[in-house]
Amino acid sequence: MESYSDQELLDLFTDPVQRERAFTLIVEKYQRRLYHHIRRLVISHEDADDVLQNTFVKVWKGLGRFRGGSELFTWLYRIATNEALNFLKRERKNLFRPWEGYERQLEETLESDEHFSGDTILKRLHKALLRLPEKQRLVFNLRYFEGMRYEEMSRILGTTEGALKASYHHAVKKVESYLRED
Amino acid sequence: MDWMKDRGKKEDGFRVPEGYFEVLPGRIMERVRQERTAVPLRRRFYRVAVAAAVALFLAGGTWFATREAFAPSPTEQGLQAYILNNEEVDEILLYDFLEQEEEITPDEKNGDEDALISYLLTEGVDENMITELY
Repeated sequence: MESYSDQELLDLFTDPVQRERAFTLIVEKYQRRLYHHIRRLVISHEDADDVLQNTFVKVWKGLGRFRGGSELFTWLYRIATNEALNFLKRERKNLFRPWEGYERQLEETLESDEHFSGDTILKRLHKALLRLPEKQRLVFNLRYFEGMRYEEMSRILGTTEGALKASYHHAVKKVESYLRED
Repeated sequence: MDWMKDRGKKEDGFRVPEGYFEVLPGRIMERVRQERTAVPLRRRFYRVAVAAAVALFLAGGTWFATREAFAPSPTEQGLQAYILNNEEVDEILLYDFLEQEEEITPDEKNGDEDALISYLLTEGVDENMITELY
C-alpha cells in the first residue's frame, strides 16, 4: 500500500475530485491508533466504534479549515480525546448514578468482553486504571500504552509538560497501590 | 513496579472483530455522505417553515384589514342583538327593515309564475319537480 505524508494527504483533500480518496487514506492511516486510544477510555468495542466514527465525521467537517497550525496527528488525537471524554460524561449522566456506578459497569464490561485477549495482569491493570480520575487515566494511557512523549501529549491535551509528568507520577502510584490490594 | 515506567508502545489487550479495520473506512465514508444529504433537507425544511409562517402572517394581516369590507349584511338576529345593546335605535326603522324582508320573496297570490319559477330555481329546487308542478 502506497504511503502518503500528512501534508500530501492534506493537499489531496483540497482537490474536490480527490477529497473522498484523501479522507479514506487518512482514516486508513490513523484508524488503529485512534481506535485503541478511544477503546482504552470507553472499554466497550461498540462504544469505541461509535466514538471513532463520530471522530472521523468531525474530521471530515473540519479538515477543510485545518491550517496545519499543529500536526495532523495532534489534531486528530485532540478530536478523538474530546469525543471520548464527552461520551463518558454523557453516559455517566444517563445512568443517574455516581461515578462509582459507571466505573463498576465498565469493570463488568471489561470482565465479560469477548474482544479482550489480554492476560489476567493486564485486565487487573485496566480495572485499576478505571478507578483513576479520567484525565489521569488519559495521561497514563498515552504515556504507558502509546509511549507518547510529554511534549506531544502537552500539545494534544493543552496542559503543561510539568503538570502531565506530575499526573503520570500520581497515576502510577495509585495503580501500584490498587494492584497490591488486589 | 519498574515495568510500569518502561517506555515504548505496549499491547493493551483489546481486540476487534475480524475485518473491522478493512471495512471501517467505507462505513465512515458512507456516513459522511448520508450526513451531507441530510443537512440540505433540514435547511429545506427550515426554509419551507419560514415561508409558511410569513404567508400565514400576511394572510392573517389581510383578513384583519379587510374584515369590514366583507362584513355580512345585518340579519334579523344580528339587528335584534344590536338593538338590545343600543337604546338609540329608531324602532320605526327597525319595523321597516323587518317588513322589507317579506317583500323579497315572490308573491304567490299575484300568480306571477315566471317570477316564482325563477325564484325556485335560484333556491336550488329540482327543475323536474318544477315541471311536475306546472
